[in-house]
Amino acid sequence: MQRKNYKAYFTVEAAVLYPIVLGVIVLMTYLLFFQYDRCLLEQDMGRAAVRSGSRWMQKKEELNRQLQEKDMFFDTEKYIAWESELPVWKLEKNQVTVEQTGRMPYPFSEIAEVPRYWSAKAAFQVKRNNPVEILRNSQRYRGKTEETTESDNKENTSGAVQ
Amino acid sequence: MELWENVILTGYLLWGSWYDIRKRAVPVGVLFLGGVLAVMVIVWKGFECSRLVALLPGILLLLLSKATKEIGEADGIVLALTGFISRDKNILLILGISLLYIFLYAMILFCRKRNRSLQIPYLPFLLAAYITAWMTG
Repeated sequence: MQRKNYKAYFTVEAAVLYPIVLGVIVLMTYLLFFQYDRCLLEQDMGRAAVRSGSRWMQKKEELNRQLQEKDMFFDTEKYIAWESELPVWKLEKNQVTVEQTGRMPYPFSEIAEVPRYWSAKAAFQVKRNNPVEILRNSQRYRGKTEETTESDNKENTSGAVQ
Repeated sequence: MELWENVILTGYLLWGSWYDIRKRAVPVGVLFLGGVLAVMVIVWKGFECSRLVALLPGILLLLLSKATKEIGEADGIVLALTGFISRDKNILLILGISLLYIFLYAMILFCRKRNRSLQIPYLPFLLAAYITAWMTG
């Protein structure tokens, strides 16, 4: 026998339960996306900070160009539903500071006249490596280790004589 | 053109709601007409993948109706058709608003009558949600 009507109703129980369950699922998904994006942002900023800390150039303009073209360039495709602001970096007293803010709209925020956002900010600060300083430190370190190995050898040999 | 699309879909949902309120069921003819509308949209505007994505909430509702029997299957079919015609941009919003409306109504009904197996027509809430999304969007 051919069917004439299809049922089209929610029971009260379903009408109460399904929105709650669906709401929880949507919220969890959004929070997961947000955490994922926040982690990516921190990782990108951290990497940019380490990279810009390890560059050493004579001219500040050259450094600026290097930082803006290479170190502060991120692949934004990997972010999900994320709106990033432009990254900011500062060089003050040989310290590089890198920071960026990003945001994600609330679920169903299109209804509101002014959309609301969850936002996250990542900032890192590193001291720039000075090649001369590194060489001096390594020389000093090498000198110390040579001294200590010599004194260790002396102690060992004197111990052996006794 | 977009306005006509909205008006036609609103009329269709209004027609479905009329049956739903009276009988808690939707005739096959109404669903068939929804299918014809969907085919007309493809012929008129061409096929887009986003229309297939927009079917998903309706299919989810249809699967839930098969699994639990607490929801009518016509709700899922009409939601899928609405999604197909209005594309993925709005369908999650429409589903969210309609569930919010029906949730509020169900709470009021439950507080007054203390019966959890009462049947509530879904299509009027879907229509209200569609109009809300239309007006706000």
